[in-house]
Amino acid sequence: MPDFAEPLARLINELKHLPGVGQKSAQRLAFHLMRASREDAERLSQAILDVKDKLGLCPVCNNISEGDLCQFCRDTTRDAKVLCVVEEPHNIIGIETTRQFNGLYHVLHGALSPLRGIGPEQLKIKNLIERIGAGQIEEVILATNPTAEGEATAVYLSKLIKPLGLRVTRIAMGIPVGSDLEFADEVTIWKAMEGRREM
Amino acid sequence: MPARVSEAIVLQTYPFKESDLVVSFLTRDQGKLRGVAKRARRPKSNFGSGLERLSQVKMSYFQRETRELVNLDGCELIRSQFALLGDYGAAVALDYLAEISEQLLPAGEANERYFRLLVTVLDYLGSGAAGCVWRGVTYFSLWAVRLAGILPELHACMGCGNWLDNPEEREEAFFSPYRAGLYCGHCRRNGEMGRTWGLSVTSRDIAEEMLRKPIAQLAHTDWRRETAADLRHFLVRQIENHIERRLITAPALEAA
Repeated sequence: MPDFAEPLARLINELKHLPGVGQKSAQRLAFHLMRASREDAERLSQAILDVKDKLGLCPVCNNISEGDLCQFCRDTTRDAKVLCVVEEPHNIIGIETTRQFNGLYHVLHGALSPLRGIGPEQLKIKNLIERIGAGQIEEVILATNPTAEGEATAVYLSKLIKPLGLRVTRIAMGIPVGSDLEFADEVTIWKAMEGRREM
Repeated sequence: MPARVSEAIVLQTYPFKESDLVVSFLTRDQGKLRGVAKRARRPKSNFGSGLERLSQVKMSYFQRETRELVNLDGCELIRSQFALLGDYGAAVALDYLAEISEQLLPAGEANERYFRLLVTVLDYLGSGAAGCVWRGVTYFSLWAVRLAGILPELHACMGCGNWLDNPEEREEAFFSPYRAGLYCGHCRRNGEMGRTWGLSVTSRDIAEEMLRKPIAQLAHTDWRRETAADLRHFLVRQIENHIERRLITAPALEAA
């Protein structure tokens, strides 16, 4: 690695810790920041500090929140009888963009993956069960990812929740809109057939 | 090297960059390899569900001699394990098989027998027979240890050399995390072995049968979590001693 001035080398080193950023990308970003105005740099550093200082986890749903409750838990117009369980906070964005779901969310912060050392204790399952036990929820939608880990998590949760007498549903899996059946693999088609609907 | 197509089993994937995956996979002809699957996390990727853990696929890839990671072009699914995920115990068992394969196998060394073992055990798990998870996992652990060349003598004491399976007086054997192999009760009492665990006569008989017969031809007995649990513990210890680290899926499997 060439010898950069110490502050620049330190910035490159810090940027390299970001996901997907290697040595070259870190250098490019560092040089961009060096050439940027002081105001731009201050805005960026303040934005990073604000994320660390002002954001926390919603105590009800574990979504990222500014203040006590997150925007969805605060919103009294949402249907509190339907709960959508997702793996990560950013999964909520994907569902919200559809504008088709008006219930509440619960974020697990991961999926069961013994191979990565993630068991039920590492996920936010305990407060999900407490939340369901409070009695207002009638349906739980398991919207974990359609991967092996996501499916195992959904199965595990359904076995915990079903005995409580709630309706437990799983989001559909299958052919992406705009693609072709010819190129779909057997598992995708099998899941699509399994999740077919009456017309 | 030119583009290749190999029959393979996907062992593990790691997120890489925005939508790529680093994939560890065991091929029948080239051994364990790692490669980058570009855009594999996008819904319309070339890989579909083929990169899910322990999927059996025909993997197309390009290998350069100067690079450790191969470039994955696509894969054709032969057999998926997705149907097994309805049973949480089976899902954890799949993680267990993947972790042991990932840890025990050296990179780039073909091991056809190990590949066949994995395919056979996955077929057996897919059969859904009662107790198949525990029987399959035990069979796999025993043969994985044997194929890795680290299965100790199961019939003789490593301390005094006495025959543990003397027909007149068959006795429980013992193993320790600090010493290789099995020991008789006498050596256990007299030697400084620290903490020890027992390996019952019944479990040694099960191991003996598993080493002689294919999994589908094993005597039909009612297998539960407790069946041969001591044998699984013994085998996990052998693996952990060999790889010099703990298996993270082993406790999860026993708790599933």
